[in-house]
Amino acid sequence: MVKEPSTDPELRSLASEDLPQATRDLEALSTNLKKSLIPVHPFAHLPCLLELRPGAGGDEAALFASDLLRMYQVYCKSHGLQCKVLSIDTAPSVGAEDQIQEAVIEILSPGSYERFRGEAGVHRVQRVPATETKGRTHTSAVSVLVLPNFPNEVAQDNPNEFNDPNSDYYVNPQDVRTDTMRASGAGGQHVNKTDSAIRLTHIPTGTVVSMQESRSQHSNRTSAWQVLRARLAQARREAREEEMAAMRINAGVKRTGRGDKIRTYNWQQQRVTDHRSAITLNRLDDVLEGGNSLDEIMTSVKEWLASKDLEAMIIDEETASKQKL
Amino acid sequence: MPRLATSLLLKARNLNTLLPLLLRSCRDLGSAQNELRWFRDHAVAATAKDPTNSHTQATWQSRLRRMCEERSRGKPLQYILGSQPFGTLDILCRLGVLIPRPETESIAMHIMSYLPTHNGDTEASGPSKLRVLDLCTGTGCIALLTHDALSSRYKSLQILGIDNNRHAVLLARSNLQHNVRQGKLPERACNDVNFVQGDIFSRHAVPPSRSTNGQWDILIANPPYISPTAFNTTTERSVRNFEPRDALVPPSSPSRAGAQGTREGNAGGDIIYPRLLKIAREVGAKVVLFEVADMDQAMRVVGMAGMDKRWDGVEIWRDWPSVQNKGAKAEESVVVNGKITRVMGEGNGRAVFAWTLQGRNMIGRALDLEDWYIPQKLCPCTVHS
Ligand SMILES: C[S@@+](CC[C@H](N)C(=O)[O-])C[C@H]1O[C@@H](n2cnc3c(N)ncnc32)[C@H](O)[C@@H]1O
Repeated sequence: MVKEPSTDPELRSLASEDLPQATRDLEALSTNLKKSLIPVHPFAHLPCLLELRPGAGGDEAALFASDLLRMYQVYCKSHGLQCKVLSIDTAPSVGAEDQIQEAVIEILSPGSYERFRGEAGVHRVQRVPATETKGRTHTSAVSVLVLPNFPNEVAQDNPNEFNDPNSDYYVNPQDVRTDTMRASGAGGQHVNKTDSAIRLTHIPTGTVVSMQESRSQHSNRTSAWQVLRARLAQARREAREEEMAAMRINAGVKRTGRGDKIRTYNWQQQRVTDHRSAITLNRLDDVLEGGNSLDEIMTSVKEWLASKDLEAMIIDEETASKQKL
Repeated sequence: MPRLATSLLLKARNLNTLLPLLLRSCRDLGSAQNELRWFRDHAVAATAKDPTNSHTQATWQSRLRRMCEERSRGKPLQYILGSQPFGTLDILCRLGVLIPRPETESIAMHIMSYLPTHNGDTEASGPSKLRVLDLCTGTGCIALLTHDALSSRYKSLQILGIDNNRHAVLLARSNLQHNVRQGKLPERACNDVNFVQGDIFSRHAVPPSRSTNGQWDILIANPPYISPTAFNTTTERSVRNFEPRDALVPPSSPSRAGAQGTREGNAGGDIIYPRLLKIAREVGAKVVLFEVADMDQAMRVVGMAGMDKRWDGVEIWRDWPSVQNKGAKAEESVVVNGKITRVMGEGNGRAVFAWTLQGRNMIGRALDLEDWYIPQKLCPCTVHS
């Protein structure tokens, strides 16, 4: 109408005033439409576990793991998400209590998997370690795993899902070997040492979970099962995604896996860059304090994930229709 | 006790100067590191709670060092920290009363898993009322865990713990209060659970109670079961030096002294079981669970239960009766007095579980009743003749 020469000038100006709004509406609509087309991730509604594992970089990586742990804990607190440490292995030496060798935290609020799923991957840190005399910047990394969490209450309330051998959540107790680290010997009244560690081995996949956080064997067993279930479900899901991705690679689409570097935290420049959404913020402190800047990054990643999911969906669709022809 | 290797001590000291102290009692680095972590958490928390403290930084460290020094002299961690988790409960521990063991936790939880999960008022699911007797209750851990496991399944639950040690009874009562206050047990536990002082060798070992008519459905006991010989040779030094002997070694009966001769060495810890079986009969128990020292004692207790015509079936449980690892023997059994007895789980022989027909119905779970009756000539091990 705006371009139509016969249109009344007044009407034309009115219409062109509306145009930007309409365009914006249209954009929003199309984004919403895209979003609604993307299939919901099967774990989206679940609570999650976050596992932090320092990688290359020794002490620096271990320290950074504890920075990240704190970042997520504060984030949870300020967003009203219930979060609790399931296990945390710190360095045994004095003064090194904040060097994490491995940590698992549990975020109990439903939907946390969806919220945090974009955090999975390798987080890289660039800074000058306190011990570095020549002032050189070191680069180290921590990998973050995001796993679907099935707290015991959830398992008890949904026995069908958990007892169905075809479900991702199913673990056949027969496949799991339990080792109690109670020292060999007479046991019972003869011994009062606290040996509460539990090790579970999922025989078909060789997945091993050891838990020695608590003085309670019972609680270690419960946590170990929780982590085992989470790791197996995630692995099954990833295997399927991998298969799909392999087909898409032929179609020229690359995917990021759990080994890919997703984000860099640079101390000198006080900068955080997410390499997927390409967002860069110069507010390192606020990010590490789990503040709005972290939200901003997570939102940008969410959009990036959605666009990737959409791309994948289109390719799958095209492949399917090609096969039909 | 063998000396610790110097290399181990050095390695420990390089990690943390407190670790060598803990190593003296822990023996291996992994446990020492775990204990250090638990002590540290406790020291930090206790110092933060202490209002008289102004120099928090200095004091949690001195508190930690004090605890590690105590531990280096062999004092059990549970007495130093003052508690031990048991199931989801927190059990207070004090010198003079035995520390609850993980094996006890494991068998107590296993028997609870035998009882039906949903227990309405319907005929089919059995009565919604249950009475449980815990003899030699100590800290009260078994009685309290029973309440924790069963309060949602039974509308009416009566649990009585008995111990002849006054300090144990007082501690058990504190434990009831403590766990209710912490929200780990429901309010009703205060009415459902009782602890009284009593000697199981006395004539009225179980006080007559009007509400139960002197009848109890389940009898559980972790009695002193260590023989005087084993006490000196098999127990850990920390157990011997810090835990009450009366909780570990049963009294030697005057009538049996001498009569047992050389057999005393092994069977000196058995003396309480015939008494427990007698009480079980008197109170009409349908199910009993006794903790024992090892497989040999388990088989002797099975033998005793076999002579007592009351029991229709019996099982031996190992330390972790609910663990059935693949590859391990699928179905294990032993033959006692010509009868096959099923053995459950992994670890050392740890408990004897016996039931009457009524008990079997109450449990409503497939128990191999018939096994108990297979005479030896039909037993697979001897069938070839
Ligand atoms: C091995 S401890 C068990 C404590 C607790 N049930 C547990 O599992 O941790 C044995 C308990 O039996 C008590 N005891 C020993 N002889 C007894 C007797 N004749 N009558 C009643 N209790 C007795 C001891 O005081 C001790 O608390």
